Amino acid sequence: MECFGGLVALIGSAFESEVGGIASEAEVEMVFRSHAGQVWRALLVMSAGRREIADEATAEAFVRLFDHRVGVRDPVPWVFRTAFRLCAAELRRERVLDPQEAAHAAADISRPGVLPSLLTDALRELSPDQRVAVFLRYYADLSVLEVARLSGSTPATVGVRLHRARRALRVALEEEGRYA
Amino acid sequence: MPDTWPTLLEDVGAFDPPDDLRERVERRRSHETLTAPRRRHPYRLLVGSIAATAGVATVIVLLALAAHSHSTPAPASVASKAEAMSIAKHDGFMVQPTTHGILLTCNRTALDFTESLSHAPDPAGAIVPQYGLSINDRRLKSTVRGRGGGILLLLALPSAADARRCAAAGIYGAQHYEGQTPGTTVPYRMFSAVTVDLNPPAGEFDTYIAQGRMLAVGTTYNEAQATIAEADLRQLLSQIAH
Repeated sequence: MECFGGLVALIGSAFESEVGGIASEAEVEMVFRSHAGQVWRALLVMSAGRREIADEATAEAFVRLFDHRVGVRDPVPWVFRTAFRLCAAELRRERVLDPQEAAHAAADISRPGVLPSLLTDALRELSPDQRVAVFLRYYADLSVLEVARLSGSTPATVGVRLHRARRALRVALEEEGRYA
Repeated sequence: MPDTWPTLLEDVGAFDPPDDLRERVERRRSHETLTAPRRRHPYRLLVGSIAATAGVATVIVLLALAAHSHSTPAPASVASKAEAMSIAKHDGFMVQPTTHGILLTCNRTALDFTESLSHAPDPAGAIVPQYGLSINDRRLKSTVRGRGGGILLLLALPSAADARRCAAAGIYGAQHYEGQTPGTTVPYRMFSAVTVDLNPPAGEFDTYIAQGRMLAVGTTYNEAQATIAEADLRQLLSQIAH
């Protein structure tokens, strides 16, 4: 969470070049050090606790940032969006090709290191895009505009996703008798 | 005090990426063999062919819709998307159109938002808005972490009946969340005829207004914001939905 104040600043200024991409690997290295953890946590939430997907998608997103840095004008949103796309593609791939594996992985809450069960259950009620919106808004404390920018969406769409996420949580808690 | 997304997500900070994440990046960059071989994606060709087919089909459908729209005028009484955006901007709001794919499902007891998914059919009875706008009033800015930042949406629905049904469903749903004991509902209070306070006394206000084919939805977090939201939405509806 502590990195997101810097994230907002980075979005606004430091790495936004008017004339081209990032000049050096050192700048990408700085983005990695300051934001890789939050990218990974965002993917952990997006995948509802799937460490292996968060690991792979985070690594691949930064590989692409290193490789394509010359054409990237605003690296922080770029790497977040790339990571989200990779994670979404992997989740979609599992649903299409390995539905049993996807169901098994999603249901396996006994593995060490996954998120708390209450959070996992609540996240499973959401789509991956909705999970991203929830993480960026309620964990990273970003504005709707900033969430939209990081997730490659529009503020209106983010608003809809948050609206639905709030309702889904309410329903889930009511089913557990935690709301009455 | 019920759990909320901010409290549920607090635990995420206790999780860290693997220690060798940076090394994994370098291994990939130098094309070294990973311990686990990457999976091939044999469905990509299939997806590509489907996408190409879908592209052609989309063009045909759009052409058909365009021809249809010339012969059958759209139901009257709402401003076009461009006009509505212009009106909102003129009134001092920041306005953004929604992306494609937002759907509503409104039955007698609940309103829900969904998103159209490429790999799954739309839910039965889903309503596809003609357009949607997100309205941002600077007075509705965030006040407390995770709480605040009012959200206002204007949606042009296919018919006035849809708008009325969805507004009524939204309010009814907010009033009838089932409680722990069968037959009971979670406490709420009516802030006004169109706004329900879902979480008194902390405050979580949902506003639903229908006017013509327009449905206005607001989510705010205190009484002052709810009052502003209602006023904003009514002001805009009076100009957009005739």
